[in-house]
Amino acid sequence: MRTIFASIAISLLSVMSLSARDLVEECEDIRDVNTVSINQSMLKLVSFPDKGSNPIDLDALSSRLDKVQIINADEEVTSAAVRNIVKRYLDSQPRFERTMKMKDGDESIQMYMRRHSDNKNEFVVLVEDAPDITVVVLIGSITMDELANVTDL
Amino acid sequence: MKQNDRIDILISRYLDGTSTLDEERALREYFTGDSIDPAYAGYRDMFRAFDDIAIPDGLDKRLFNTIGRLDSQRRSDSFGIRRFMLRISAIAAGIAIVLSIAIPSASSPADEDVLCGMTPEEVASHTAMALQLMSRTISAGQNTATRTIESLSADNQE
Amino acid sequence: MPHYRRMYLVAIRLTADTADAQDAVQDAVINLWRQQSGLEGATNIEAYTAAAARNAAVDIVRRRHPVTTLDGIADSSSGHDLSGELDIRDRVKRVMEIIDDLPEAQRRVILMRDVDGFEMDEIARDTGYSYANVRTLLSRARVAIRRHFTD
Repeated sequence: MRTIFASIAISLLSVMSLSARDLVEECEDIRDVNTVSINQSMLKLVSFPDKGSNPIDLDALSSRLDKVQIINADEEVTSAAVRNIVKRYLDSQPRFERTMKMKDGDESIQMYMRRHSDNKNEFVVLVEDAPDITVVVLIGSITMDELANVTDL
Repeated sequence: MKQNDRIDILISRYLDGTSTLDEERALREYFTGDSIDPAYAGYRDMFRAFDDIAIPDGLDKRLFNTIGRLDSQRRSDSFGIRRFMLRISAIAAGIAIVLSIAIPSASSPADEDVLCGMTPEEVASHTAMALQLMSRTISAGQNTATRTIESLSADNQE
Repeated sequence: MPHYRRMYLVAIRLTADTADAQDAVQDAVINLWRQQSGLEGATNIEAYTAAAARNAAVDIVRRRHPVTTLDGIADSSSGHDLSGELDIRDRVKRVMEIIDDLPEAQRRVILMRDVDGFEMDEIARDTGYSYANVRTLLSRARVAIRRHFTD
């Protein structure tokens, strides 16, 4: 029953933002989407606790981060809008490479990466567990190996 | 440059398909205004017609929010940042979210502006969660790949 | 054409006013939402959305400008800018007819540019046409429209 209305709503989505430059900017005024956007100057004001067990110095790491963004929605139509915007963003230049795709029950996780012209890396993780969607963006002078070592697993 | 020369140039760019959006906007503004040179009477109706049918800015988002409002009226539970954070921690299952965060010694009003309404604790915990989520995802992917490779080579040996 | 765009064009022809047309589309969306169970099995969504937009627009015109009929012929005491309205309705009807008669590629491009306001590279990416091709199509469409309006 909802699919017909959803297709009407989704027809709205086909022209919403053809080229997203900043995911949070594109998503933040959509109702019921939660966004968090953290930049370098904010990170400078914050220090991380001394976790002896973690081999990575989070303070040093955060000083190399330019941007941290988190976007979350938990309703079918809103999540579809976010997914649409993220797809456009992932198609924008310079191109993203998908580094990972996993499915764990109903939850699907994808990870993308691209290199910026100033040698910074951008990582995007997309977690979907209908109707929830969560997107995390990280930009900075940080490598995938360094990210992998943030926690002991 | 005289007004008419400018309009001539804009019209010729428009018909050529080389005008910018700003130039097109300027043309529409001119032709929906009051003082239009009679020499351009032929173009007036055309530009006015385009002005009439141009989809107003923000209509798509306005309609989208209408649907969102209709949809959320059906839901009883409210969505909050706490549930959002719990959701992230569920994804990064097994990893302790940073709970005790060092508070910076000096926090001025200027700092508050920079933080955009978040507390230093929130900034730190969001960043820590983001890093841990990424890390967990990479590791899980590597483990999956490793297991797949191992099971494939095990199959080959049989 | 996405449904809401078509709905807006239906509405503006009836209301001859941008704000009223937007409100009509919003009302139509709300009415469609309420009718969801009735829409089950509907095969022609475009007809439904256009009809909803039409009905909502008619309601708004009746509510807000009670002495104006849809022919645009009004009581002289209405105080409403009658000649302005007729012009808009005629213009919109004319330009839409011309655009609908254009070859498909030109039609797509001119709608994306002159109605939706997309940048050239966005149009190229979305249609798959080359930038040069988009430019040419746009030019041809605009020249054709100009010819119809100045004749």
